[in-house]
Amino acid sequence: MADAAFLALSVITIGSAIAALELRSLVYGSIALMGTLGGIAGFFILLDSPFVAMFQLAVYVGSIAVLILFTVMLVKRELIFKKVEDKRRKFVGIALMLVFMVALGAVILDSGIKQITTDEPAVDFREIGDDFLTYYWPALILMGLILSGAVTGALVLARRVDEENGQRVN
Amino acid sequence: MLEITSTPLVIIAILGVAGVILPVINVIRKEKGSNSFYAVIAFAALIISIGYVGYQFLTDNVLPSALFSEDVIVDDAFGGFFAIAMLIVAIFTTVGSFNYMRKHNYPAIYYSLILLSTIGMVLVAYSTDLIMLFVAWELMSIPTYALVGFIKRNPQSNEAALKYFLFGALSSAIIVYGISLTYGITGSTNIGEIIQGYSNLDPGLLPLALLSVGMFVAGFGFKMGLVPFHQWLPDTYEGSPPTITTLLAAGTKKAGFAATIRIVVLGMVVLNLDWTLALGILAIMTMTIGNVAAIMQKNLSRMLAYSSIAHAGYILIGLAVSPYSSLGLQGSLFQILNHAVMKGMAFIAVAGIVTTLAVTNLDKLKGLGRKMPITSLGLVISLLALAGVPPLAGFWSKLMLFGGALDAGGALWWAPWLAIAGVLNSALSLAYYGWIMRRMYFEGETEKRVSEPKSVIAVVVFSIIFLVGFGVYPDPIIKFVEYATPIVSLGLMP
Amino acid sequence: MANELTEFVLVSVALLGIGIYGLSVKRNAIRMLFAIEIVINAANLNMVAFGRFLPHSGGQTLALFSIAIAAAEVAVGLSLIIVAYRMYHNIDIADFRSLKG
Repeated sequence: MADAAFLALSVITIGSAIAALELRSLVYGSIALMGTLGGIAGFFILLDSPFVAMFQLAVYVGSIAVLILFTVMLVKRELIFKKVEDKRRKFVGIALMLVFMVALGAVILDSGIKQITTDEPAVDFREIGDDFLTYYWPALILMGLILSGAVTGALVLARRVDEENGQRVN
Repeated sequence: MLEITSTPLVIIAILGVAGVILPVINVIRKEKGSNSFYAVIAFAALIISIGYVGYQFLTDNVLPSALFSEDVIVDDAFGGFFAIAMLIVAIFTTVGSFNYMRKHNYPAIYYSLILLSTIGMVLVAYSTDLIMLFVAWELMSIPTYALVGFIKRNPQSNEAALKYFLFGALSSAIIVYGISLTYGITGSTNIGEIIQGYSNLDPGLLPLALLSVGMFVAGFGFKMGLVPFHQWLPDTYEGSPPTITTLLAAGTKKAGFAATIRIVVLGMVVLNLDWTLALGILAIMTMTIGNVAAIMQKNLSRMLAYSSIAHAGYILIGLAVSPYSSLGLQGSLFQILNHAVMKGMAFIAVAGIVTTLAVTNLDKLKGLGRKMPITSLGLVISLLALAGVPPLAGFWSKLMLFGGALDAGGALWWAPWLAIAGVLNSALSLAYYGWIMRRMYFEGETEKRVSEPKSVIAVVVFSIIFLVGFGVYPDPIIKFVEYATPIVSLGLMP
Repeated sequence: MANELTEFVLVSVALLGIGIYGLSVKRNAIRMLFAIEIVINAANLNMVAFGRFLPHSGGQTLALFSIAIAAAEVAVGLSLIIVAYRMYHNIDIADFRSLKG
């Protein structure tokens, strides 16, 4: 049976995920998103994966969520609260979500994964490091290329047009 | 073990170094305006890579299409085939951008992102591990998000990029979810071990396996532009810079097919589901909706975008009949290579028209045949080849695809219908291609010839030689395709 | 382990559902980005949970890759959103109408 920590974490995670999408203000929405991401980090600790949990906190909560928060704060105040929504579309969306969750949940409860339990100790995080440097090493190189591409691409896009023109005059 | 000289690793090294060093050179040089220097570096890197792939084939260092390996990548003929197709597309894009980029800022970053995206496309085809495939998939996608929105002052480019980004990010999120389920069911991320895990699956886990395969189809289907997932595609192809549309239509879309053949087809064969019918229905829907919508378009890039949706449908025919007819899958591979050249040339020709005349509206293309004779000739040849008119290479690939569908008719009662639908759709597409040709050659007043961009002419001439040459004498390429096609059947186990 | 695998997977399915709801209903670019992040996190939770119960190190490796890639993706996406905001002074993609078929 689920213990108290698990229940609390699921309430926090799912609740703040809904809040992130439904709160009127985008600022509070992004703070709620931090709650979801932090909750997932909590689940990682429950799953004996402290390394991934730390990574999640550092990268997701520490940089992605903060980046989103800053972008939101750059946006005009009216837009933060603006909410154009089609009522019919919303009901269809909720119906779709419920059908999806119930169907998928039924499949999972029905399937064989219920019996899977383990008493074995968790994977040592040194094994992850081994994996990275032996089996997955080409993927690690590609990861570096992704980051360099993303950084140069984002820098070029985010640069102001008037600044570029000014430089060209000089 | 992975040899350090194996093709994928060498391609990563060459293109990766060139891609990372271009922005650095840009910072050091500080001068603006000349893009030829960066274009030459990018071009040289791509030519060296394609040369290396060819060398590996000629010296027999390539494994026959293995599909499985103990490592994350495998240097096999299937990957090599796709590597050649993708590198041709990247060369087209680089050469074709030569004139286009004169008017825009940051040529170094532009070419560097093209190179990085090319590595991703090539490596998707070489991957034999889901994590590797996902990382390569993202390396392919993330630079293209930036490239589509590269023309910052153009609202269309930005809107196209935003739509492309949101759908692309959604598709990769779905793919990750599919990977997570597959991993949970089989306990591994290596495709060979996954297939093994699927083949002795606990029956209770079958619905989950089905769901994960469905998620792969949806996730890859977004990039391939299969019909329920195609809404972003016309907008993105129309709004993005036409040179980048080449990369999307001819490159990333084909990488989606490579990934589908690697995972979905094999996974489904082993799961032994009645999946061929589902893919067949998707194929017919994609062909028909793409062609019908293309008739109504008034913009050349948008029309070509719908036509490329339709072509995803033709390629899917071969995948749908693959367990019963190897001819179908060979036709798919041949069509993938042809489509890369045909659509690549068509969009580069559009880029040439945009650079010189700044129009893409079909009404304004009257008399183009006299204004830009070589570009128009290229466009006509590529449209005829897309429709599958006999002496061109497009004819043979369609023949193989439809032949494969008829071939599978013994085992699948509905397979001949795929061929019939394909033929009808080709006839339909010939109608609207013919309409464009009439516009270009028989309407409008006699107008003066304008000078055409030399880079576009280079691409057009190469493609015409390719399409006509292999149309008249297709034997070598059919042999190559036969060699590169993996054998997909129920007897295949790692 | 005090908790069962099914429970973690069910939480992940709930998050997936919420993410799909957000993507199909919301038209604000930043909200759609939230929804995508929620789906990716659901997948990560799945992977680590499966990895713990197998037990196998692949799940955690996959989650680490997925987190790092999400960071790169978000950086490019946010810069596109900023460019759009500068041009339209708006971030609702339903209001972007320069492309029509």
